[in-house]
Amino acid sequence: MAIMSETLTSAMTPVMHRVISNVSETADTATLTFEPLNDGLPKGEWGQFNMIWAEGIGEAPISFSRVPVDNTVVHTIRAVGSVTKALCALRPGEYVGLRGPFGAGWPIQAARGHDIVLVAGGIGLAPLRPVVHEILENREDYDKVTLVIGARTAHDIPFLDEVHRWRTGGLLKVRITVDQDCSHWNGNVGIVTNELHRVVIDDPGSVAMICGPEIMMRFVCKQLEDSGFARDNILVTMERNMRCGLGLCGHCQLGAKFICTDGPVMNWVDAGPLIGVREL
Amino acid sequence: MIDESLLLKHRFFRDIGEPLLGYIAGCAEQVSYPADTQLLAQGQPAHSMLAIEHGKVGVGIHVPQRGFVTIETVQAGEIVGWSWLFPPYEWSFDAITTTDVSGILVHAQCIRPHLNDDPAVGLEFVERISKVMQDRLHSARLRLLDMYGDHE
Repeated sequence: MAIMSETLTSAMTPVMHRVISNVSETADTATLTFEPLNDGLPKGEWGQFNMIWAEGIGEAPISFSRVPVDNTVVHTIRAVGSVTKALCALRPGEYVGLRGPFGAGWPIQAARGHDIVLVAGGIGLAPLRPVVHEILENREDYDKVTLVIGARTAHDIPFLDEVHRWRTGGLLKVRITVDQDCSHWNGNVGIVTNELHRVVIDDPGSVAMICGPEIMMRFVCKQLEDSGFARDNILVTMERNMRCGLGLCGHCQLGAKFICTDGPVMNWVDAGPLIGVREL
Repeated sequence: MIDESLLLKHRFFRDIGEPLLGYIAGCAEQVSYPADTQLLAQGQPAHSMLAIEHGKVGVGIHVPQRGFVTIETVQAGEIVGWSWLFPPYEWSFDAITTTDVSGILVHAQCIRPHLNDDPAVGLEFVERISKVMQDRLHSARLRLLDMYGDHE
């Protein structure tokens, strides 16, 4: 009991980190890099998240936007609430507390040898970015890879320079569409599912990984199912009100699942029946 | 007039049966346009339907102070233009090629009498167009939701 209590206390205690950079991605989104003041957290994996604590304000669950390769931690944050607004406003040298890593991530290595379709909506590209990095680093391990990006406007696409490099690099097919035209945009305009229609799927073992607004994921998953994807090869990352990160407090409960421990990445067999249920 | 086998390669015409296939082939021609060509102009007579084989077309409208604003990008395997099916047979929007485009152009004045004279043929064609309309309406409705917006 004493050991469990100690483990719990440790998992609930933020580890202080210093901001070493804050790079603006879009008008409301920034990528922050943190380094620990002392010992860092265990290294996280693709799709996992940390709870980031803004002192005096609160905590927010944020996925890794780069898998840690040293003791630094990289998160891309959209300023939508009081905590995330405070985090996006942090300057180098300021401090935050981090807990984690938590949750089940993308089972990327299980997709080796298969076609992969990644679908990112808006800031949903951040949790998928480490997957793209893994694929590019081990490109020969994967078959055809397509990344479909949807955003409200061209100004709302994060990692724009990097996306451009992916697009011109020839190692994966990148399709981008925006909901609304804006000046200087010469790309496609239309809903993200339109771009999926144009992706040719011929591997029955194809794996899809999707991150974006829940309503987008519902329609994308339905379309993927209609085009022959197996439900357990469709993976989504869920967002709920994560608090403890340990499956104890119940704030992120979705049916019989706790998103912080059973997710955030779940397959469509598990997530599909729950995602459309009102009030869940 | 074009070869029927060419029509069947395009997604919109796939599996289409006779006699409609023959009627369309008799009213169609292969066309190509360089990028930045205005294909349709709002308020002008709607005279044809383009089935895109290669390239992209932006369907949109000219907005004061903003210029041409694309509402939807239409690509290979899709069609542009259905206003020729409904009175007053005028385009509701503009359409401009955003890349070099090639495709199959079906002339409205030629095909419309066939659709009107034979209800079964007309229904088959309208069902295909309705599926396109359903997809575009679906797309427009989802975009009205502003899925990516800040709804906190």
